[in-house]
Amino acid sequence: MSDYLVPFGPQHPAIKEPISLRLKLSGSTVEGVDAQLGYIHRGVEKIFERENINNALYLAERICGICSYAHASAYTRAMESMMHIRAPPRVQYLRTMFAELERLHSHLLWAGFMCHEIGFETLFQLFWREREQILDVFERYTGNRVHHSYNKLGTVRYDIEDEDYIREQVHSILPTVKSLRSEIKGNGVVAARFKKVGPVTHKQAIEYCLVGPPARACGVKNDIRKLDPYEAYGKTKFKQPIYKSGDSYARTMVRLDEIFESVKIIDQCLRDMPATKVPKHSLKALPQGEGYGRVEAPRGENFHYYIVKDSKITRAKIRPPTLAVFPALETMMLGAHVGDVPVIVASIDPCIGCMERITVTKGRRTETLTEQEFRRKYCG
Amino acid sequence: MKRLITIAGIDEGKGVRLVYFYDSNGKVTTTDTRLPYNGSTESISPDYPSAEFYEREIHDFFGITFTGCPNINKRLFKAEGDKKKPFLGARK
Repeated sequence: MSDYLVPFGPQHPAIKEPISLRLKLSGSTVEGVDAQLGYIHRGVEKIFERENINNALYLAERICGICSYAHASAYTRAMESMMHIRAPPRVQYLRTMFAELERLHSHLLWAGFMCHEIGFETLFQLFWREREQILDVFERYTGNRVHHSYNKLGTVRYDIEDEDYIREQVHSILPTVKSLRSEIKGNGVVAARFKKVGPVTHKQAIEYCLVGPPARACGVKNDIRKLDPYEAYGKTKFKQPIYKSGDSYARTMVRLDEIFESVKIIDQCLRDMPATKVPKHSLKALPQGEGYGRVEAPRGENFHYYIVKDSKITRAKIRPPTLAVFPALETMMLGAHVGDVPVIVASIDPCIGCMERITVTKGRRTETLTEQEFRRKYCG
Repeated sequence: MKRLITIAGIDEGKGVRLVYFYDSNGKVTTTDTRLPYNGSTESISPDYPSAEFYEREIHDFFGITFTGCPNINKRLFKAEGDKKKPFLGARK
């Protein structure tokens, strides 16, 4: 029997998006968690219905404000598999490179937040300063820092011109990330806040079907880029970092190690990309029937499933990685000190908006629209 | 053991179709179940604890009951007292 029921959220300084966790406490020890989602549920899957396949690509990208390209990639993969087409090799390499650039910026953003949760503001600022180098690349080649609108079915919207610029920007973050990684590894205070906090065993990770870095932190090899290679991942060499302890520290180290692997993949893409032209967008076949696409987003496996009839979507099902990791959150928190709850939540790198929200940004204006307003304005 | 990816619900006009997606050594496999509206089926959460969230989501949106699913009547995505099933019926 718990002594207290403490509400953690929906609005809480330690979480960046609204979510409600009711913590059952015995003294200051967590004995149970009751999660309540839906505070920013905007019915994205419903908006997909009756949507044209070309318009829906932009909607897919707006599911998330951090891993937007992962959603566009999963959508593209699903549609291209239904059309039985594969993008030309240069396009595959370009998509692979942009996916890895997104992983870099997402992991750097998350690393900053993770340090912020334990009050290590200097590291937070330093990680975010490095992230700007990656966002500059996105802005230069797509015109946008977050919603890149880079993919088209069968091709991409822009080619790259100055390959050395990307190489320089990407390599410029490595010395700082290396030094910050050593700081996290060797700092006793960080170790005290991360080690043995929110542990998950290898057996539990398999039972809970964990994905992404939280699974790899428990020794489960489940990187979709290796298991089910797509785009140019089958032609690139990289390691999937594996740790055994399954705690917040292991989840941190997996993501920091992945930054170095992503840079290796980008280098290989720039080196091996054939010097051909990027084809213009033209569809010779339309998708029909049912299809799915999955990619390894920065947070883990991102799964999209669509049913298409007469080039319109009749049903969309999106399972972002956070929803796959969330059921294990209670296991991670059982027995934890209530003060460690923010660290445990941050360690899974949650993206609540991934499944729930749409915000449309055009020019300098940001507007939050209802479903009808969004359809009338942007899908007519 | 296969890894559960997700469960999708589809309104087919005559009832609800559930598609279970699994990953088996890098290959995606599916299992289909067809149920009448407001029907019920066995929960897979004793084998796959993560299925609880997917089953509660389908219960919220399609009205399907999963016997053996813990907390099936606890709201997950919808507001308290909201009885609407937003994914049932064709879009107007």
